[in-house]
Amino acid sequence: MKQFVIKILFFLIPLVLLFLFPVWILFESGEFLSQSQIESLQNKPGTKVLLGKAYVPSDAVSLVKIVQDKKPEVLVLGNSRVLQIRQEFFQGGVSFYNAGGSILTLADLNAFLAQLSYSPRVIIVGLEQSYFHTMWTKQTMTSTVTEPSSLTTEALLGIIKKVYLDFWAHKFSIADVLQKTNDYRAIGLNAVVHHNGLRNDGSYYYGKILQNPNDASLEDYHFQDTLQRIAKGERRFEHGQTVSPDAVEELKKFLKTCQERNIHVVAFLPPYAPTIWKTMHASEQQQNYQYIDALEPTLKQSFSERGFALSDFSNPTLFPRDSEFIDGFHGGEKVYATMLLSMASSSPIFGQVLSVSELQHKVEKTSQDLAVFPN
Amino acid sequence: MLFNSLHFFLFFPIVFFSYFFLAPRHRTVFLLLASCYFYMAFIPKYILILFLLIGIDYVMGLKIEQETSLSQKKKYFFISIFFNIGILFLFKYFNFFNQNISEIAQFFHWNYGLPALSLILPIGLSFHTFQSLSYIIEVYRGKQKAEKNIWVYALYVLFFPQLVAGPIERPQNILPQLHETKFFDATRAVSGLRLMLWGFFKKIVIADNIALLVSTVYGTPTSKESAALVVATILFAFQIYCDFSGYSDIARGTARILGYRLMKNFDSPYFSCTISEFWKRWHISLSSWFRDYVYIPLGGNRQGTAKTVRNLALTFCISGLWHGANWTFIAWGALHAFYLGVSFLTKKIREQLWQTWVLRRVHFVKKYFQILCTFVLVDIGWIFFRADSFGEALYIFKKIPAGIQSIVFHFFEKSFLQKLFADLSIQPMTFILLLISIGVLLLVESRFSQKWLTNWSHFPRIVRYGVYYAVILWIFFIGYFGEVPFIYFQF
Repeated sequence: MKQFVIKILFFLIPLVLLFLFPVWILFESGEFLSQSQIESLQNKPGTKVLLGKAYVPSDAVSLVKIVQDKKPEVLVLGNSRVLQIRQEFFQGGVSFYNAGGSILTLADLNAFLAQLSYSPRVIIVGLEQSYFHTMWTKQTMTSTVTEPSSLTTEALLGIIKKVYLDFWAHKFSIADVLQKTNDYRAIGLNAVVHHNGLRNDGSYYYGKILQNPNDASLEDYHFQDTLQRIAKGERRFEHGQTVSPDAVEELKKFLKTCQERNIHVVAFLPPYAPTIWKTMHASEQQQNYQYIDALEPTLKQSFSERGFALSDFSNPTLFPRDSEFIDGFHGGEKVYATMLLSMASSSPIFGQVLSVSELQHKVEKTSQDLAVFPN
Repeated sequence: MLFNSLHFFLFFPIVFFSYFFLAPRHRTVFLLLASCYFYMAFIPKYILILFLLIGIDYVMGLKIEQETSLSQKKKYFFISIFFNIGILFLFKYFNFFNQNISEIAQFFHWNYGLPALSLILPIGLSFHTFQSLSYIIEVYRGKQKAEKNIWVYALYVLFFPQLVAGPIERPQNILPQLHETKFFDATRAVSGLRLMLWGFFKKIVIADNIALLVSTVYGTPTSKESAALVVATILFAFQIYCDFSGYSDIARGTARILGYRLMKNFDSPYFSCTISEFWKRWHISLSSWFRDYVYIPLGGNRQGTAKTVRNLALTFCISGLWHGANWTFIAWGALHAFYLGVSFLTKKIREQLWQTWVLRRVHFVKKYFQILCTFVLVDIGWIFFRADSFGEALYIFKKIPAGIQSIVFHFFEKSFLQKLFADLSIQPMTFILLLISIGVLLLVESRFSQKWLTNWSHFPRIVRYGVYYAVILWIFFIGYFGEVPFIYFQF
């Protein structure tokens, strides 16, 4: 038996080493850090964390809980098209958190708000145009899950496999994993290798694109992916002629609740890149996106009657260059800074929290199309 | 507890080391406790059902043997049958029969209001019930002595390698082994590990990858092109084979490491030349059970053609019902009965046909032609086995000719392949790797390969280890590690 066991152990050694390599990669890049460990790092004074996990999912801690714990005065809600709004846009002393990515349907706005026991001073809402498309359901996807989820063996094996496949496909190298930067503590392979990830304030840093905007391997290089979505009428670019009345009702519910809770709302319809907007309004697509053109007239009154502000930036007249866009429908930091400055001019309450003059100065002085602040 | 889980990879080494380090007199109870733990990993309280059946069968077995009066023997025999079949009926068939009676009652406007039961089917119920029945029948027939040691009898039923999905063992094979003192044998252990590795390859690489594809297609068959239905149907034949035979291999390998021989449950069934041969090679433990305890007692093929056909029909319909409480399974069983009946009736004509001038010239392809025909017939049966309803099975069946036609005429068209892979929800490279894996399976399990594989241990170590590492890496990189339970767990 002893000899048999020794033979088996020797047989297993190469396999163990095989598994150790990707496990080391995951450890070294911080993929295994739990949500509570990440939060401790984020809360350490002077520590800037960039959270960009590529493989191991974060614990299922909801953004609701994070916001509830932080109780920011200024809260951002929306999908990925609000994630460029960051703490540095606001006055020092104004607490801020970007809970972008949490709102997939308008029902999520109400669900999110219902779970907050405190009332922010200002909520900035990015109203993704497709929220108002008739095909999007009212089903909320916001959850209050707060328990850490455990990584199953099957999931871990799948992750280890993926690490190997990506390593062999040269998506990253050992040198990439070992590199460190003084600018922030990178957690997760996406942050370590591509410098993509969430900052402490919940905003997103598109490091990979910022460092090389002309990288042909980018998914939406020359807006090819967005143009395909328009051509096929899919993935947030579905064709539609009318605004969904259910969606409008859902939004009104949200505005009413905010008014009752004394929360000031500034909302915006986020911009498309100029090329994309032109394509959406080209003659062959003329009728396909009529609902987007109808949004501002439809929604304006619901905001104004409550003293709230709505700005429609869908048509990117303020941002005439494609180079200011990260992809077809996500503006860069400069775009968002410009948008917020425009919104502040029509909302005195919002103007009190935004760092207007400093932000104006930064926007005018920046030589980069995509960034206003470093990192 | 699934074999392909971390839980089992921790459980089995502990059982293995503990088993061989324990004094022989403690091993039976230890294995019994380990088997209970294995079973309770599913739904713990259901072990009480097994305890009940074990207690009843143990006592009834002893009483049958002790009694001299035939009527008393019969009484105890039927008490055991009643409890075993009764519990199986209650958990597995009550709702099915209840629903059908209810529909008949509705049709005739009768008053019938028995509610459905909401009971979860205990895992492996059909398997260990049949194994228990096998014991009590053999004792009643006088072919097996009643087991006096309750722990040994309990282990006969609960032995964890074959507890939840067979093979359905006969007492003559297992009970004597449970009385033997087993010593560790390295050669046997390596052989067991090899069998387990092969079982994991079949389950994780082939069965689980195909399962995703088949679920996608059979889940919404009306939204798929006919070519996708054909591909999914062919692949399901390999899914069910690899899933079930993979489990059996892991079970036999596990038992072999501990020193026990379980019966071979599959013998390259898709290389069968006739349906009759298929049933001698597929799920051998179940088909032999039905042959010995249903078909032969009904009269087998000894009472003329009409009764032979009747006996085949009854046996296979019951076999279909054993697989599941749904008309699709009964249809599947009936279809095989039809195949066997036609085969039985046309045997002489077919033999004469092969002797004609034309077909004699192509005799060399006879075997391959027969293998292909048998596979096609079996695969048609699998449509009914897999489909969610009779209606969907018929829909898929009707689409097969058009599907074959479109594959034959459009296979090299890019747009056809793009649509096919979209319908199957699989990447082309994954599909190719799956086909390669199936090719390896067929190569290894062909009768040709079996001849040189028996000398495997004489191959140089570098070759053997190289193959083992290659298989492990193939399982790791190509296998699917999401949770896909073994198909036969539902039975």
